[in-house]
Amino acid sequence: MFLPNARTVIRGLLFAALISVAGSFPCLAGESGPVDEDALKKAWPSDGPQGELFHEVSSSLRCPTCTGISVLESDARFSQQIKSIVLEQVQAGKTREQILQHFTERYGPWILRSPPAKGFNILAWLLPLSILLAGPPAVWFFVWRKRRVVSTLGVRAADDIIKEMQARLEEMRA
Amino acid sequence: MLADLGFYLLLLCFLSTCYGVLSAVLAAYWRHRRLYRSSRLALTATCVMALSAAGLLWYLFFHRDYSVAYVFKTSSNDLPQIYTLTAFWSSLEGSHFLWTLLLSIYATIALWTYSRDNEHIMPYVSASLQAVLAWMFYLAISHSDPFLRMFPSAADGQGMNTLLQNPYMAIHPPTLFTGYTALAIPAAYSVAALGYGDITEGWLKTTRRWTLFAWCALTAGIILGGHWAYVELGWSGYWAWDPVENSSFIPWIFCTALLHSLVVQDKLGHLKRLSLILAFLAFFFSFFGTFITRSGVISSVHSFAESPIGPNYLAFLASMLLIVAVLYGFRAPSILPPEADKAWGVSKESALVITQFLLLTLAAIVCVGTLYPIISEAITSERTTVQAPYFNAFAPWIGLGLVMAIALGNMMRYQSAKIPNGAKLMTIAAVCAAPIAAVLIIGGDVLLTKKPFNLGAQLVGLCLCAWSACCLTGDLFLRIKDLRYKLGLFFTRNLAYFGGYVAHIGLIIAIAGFLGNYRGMQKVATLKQGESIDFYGYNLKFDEIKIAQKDNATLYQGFINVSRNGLELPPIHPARSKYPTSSNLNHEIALMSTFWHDLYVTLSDFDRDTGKKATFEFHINPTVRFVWIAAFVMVTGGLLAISDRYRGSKSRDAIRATE
Repeated sequence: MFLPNARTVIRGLLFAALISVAGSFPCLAGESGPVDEDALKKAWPSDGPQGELFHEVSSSLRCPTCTGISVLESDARFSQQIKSIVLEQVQAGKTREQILQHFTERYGPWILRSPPAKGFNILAWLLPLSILLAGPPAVWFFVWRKRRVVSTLGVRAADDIIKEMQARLEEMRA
Repeated sequence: MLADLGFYLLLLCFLSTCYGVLSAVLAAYWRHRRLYRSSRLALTATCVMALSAAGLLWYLFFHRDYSVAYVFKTSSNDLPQIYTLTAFWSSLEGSHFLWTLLLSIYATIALWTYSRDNEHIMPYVSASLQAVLAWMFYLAISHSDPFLRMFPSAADGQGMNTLLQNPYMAIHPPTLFTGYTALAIPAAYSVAALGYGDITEGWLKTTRRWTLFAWCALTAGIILGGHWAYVELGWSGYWAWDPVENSSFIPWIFCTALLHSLVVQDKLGHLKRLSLILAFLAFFFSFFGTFITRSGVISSVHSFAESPIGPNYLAFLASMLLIVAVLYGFRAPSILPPEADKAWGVSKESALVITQFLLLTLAAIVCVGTLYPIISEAITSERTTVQAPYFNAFAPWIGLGLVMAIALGNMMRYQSAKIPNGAKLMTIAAVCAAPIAAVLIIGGDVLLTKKPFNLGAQLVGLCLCAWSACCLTGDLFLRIKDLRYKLGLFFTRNLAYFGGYVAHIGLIIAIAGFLGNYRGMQKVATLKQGESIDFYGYNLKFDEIKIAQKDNATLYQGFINVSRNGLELPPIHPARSKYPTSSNLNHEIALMSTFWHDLYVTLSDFDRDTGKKATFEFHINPTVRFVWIAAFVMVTGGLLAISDRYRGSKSRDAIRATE
């Protein structure tokens, strides 16, 4: 069996708790509570190079409490916090890689919406690629190229059957 | 009291399906007709009992009997009457029961509307269907009992998941489950063909109809689910590639692949074994999807063992796979195409094989992406996430391949390397496609896209879509011309082809719609009363937040006056809703749809003291409407193809055999 380390378990429990709070449905955005006056003031930039960087980074980080969507698309409290950290770092002049690195160090690669293509995770990227690349040759090899051999007697049969018949014939002659 | 009756009905259903399996297996073994008939009667009785149990559950919901745990969990006194009825499938036990109920209904229909040509394989069909049903009923009475009583009974329920109080959620699950369960019939016929050792004469006709029916239901169900997500969840998208969505998409892909292999089987008698495999896998994956989403395994490997449902599902799936694999290993070698020396070469059938490859690759990618977090956690014990960016890295390329394959494959002919009037057709199609693509590009404001890759993807995609649609239409025209414009003859003989044409056009419209995701725009703004912002030609002026009551929900509505290019438009009211049974604030989005784009506004936050200040998210979502239109067109195509009475009604194998 797989033995998770303690950190994974704790994180798992934490997220399980968060998810059960947020309800079993994706991107339960609304959470109750007093209005966060800070969040109200904050408007994410949508134009300019900073805005583009902000969009790119925050759409490649997952919303921790939702299934399937990024922090950009979610307005759950957790996502709001991540977005403000991203915004701070964008304004501090950090690059995309640096910001993603910052989050990966804190939360593990789990926070990225697609697994980074290194280590074991390269498998996730190689598998589809290999299917895509190996498929057409396989189709060609197994379907198109395959021709049946027509025996001299005019009986249409596969190679192995002809071989078997010839072997039997040899046996009978011997 | 009534709830106990419901439980006993389910128990009886379980016993009756067990008898059904046993008698059907013996009937198949002894070739005993009356025994088979008793198995069919057992299934019919099961269906009637399951319907009565469903009626009972509805009655309990209607009378808000909170002594039943499921009713307590999923409804409450404030729930509008219509949603009390749909609360039936708003949680695990009920949707499991709905699945079972629909399966028993379709299985009964399948057994009573059999074709005489299939009579000798019907015991196998009955046994396979009832084996699945028996297991579902076993789960219903053991781990997922919707009639479980609770004591003491409560005065008010906990309430339905507020996100499900939406008309789309009322019809989406039954539609999707109809697709899932209808897929059981082709799968059962496959198992029957394997059990019998050959494909019978009427096999193709029956399987084709049920597959098409399932396909229509799945298409409609998936898009309805997407529509629900779009209008209810407030993140301005309809497809997030999340595990629940993926697990409905994978059976759809297999179902589509099956339809295409059935076409080859119909025309040439080839790909029989592929059809058998695909029919089984389509159903298998609809089950598998339920397993991964319901067992909790998707949120973490470690939550797998928490509910007894997970291991149960796994055992069932494994045994299903094992039984069919063994059957296949023994019987498939005898299921052969009519002539063994077929050279495939460049031909329509080869093009269809390539289509299969593309579809199955897509299924594999979706499957790998969905399961990868589980696999990776199990092996490296490090949690990873696989979400939209991963799928979006692959899916567009498959889509591109499919659009090309649709155009070329449809123009080709069986057993011929030559496309009739090929060069002419493709040139004319390119000429006709140019203005269509131009309209799409200009009308959709594609050139506003900033990123070069996104711009390129849209330009190439839209041009190819237009060209592909024109090629299809040109081929349709050629076929009608070949019949000397006798439309009556065309529609009686070629209705299936025409249905396929419509469905393919639908898919192309959908892909053109998906391309809109490359140029979405959004803006977040906090507005005070009287302030306005300009966004994509719209002028949006915030008035204030007002409180309104709608059914059981309290709405905090933001009033926004909209004008576009100086023209006054009706005001919109993005809102948050508060239901009495939940502390969450749900999104009630405001949508202003035009043909080319949707203006999609959500209320993120607002000043709860004065209501004079609020933060909004404004989105422009281009060509979303194309996707809804496409769903309608595709389902229409599927229904046209079902209503064809000619195709598949005679097995071409049988004709060959008598020749």
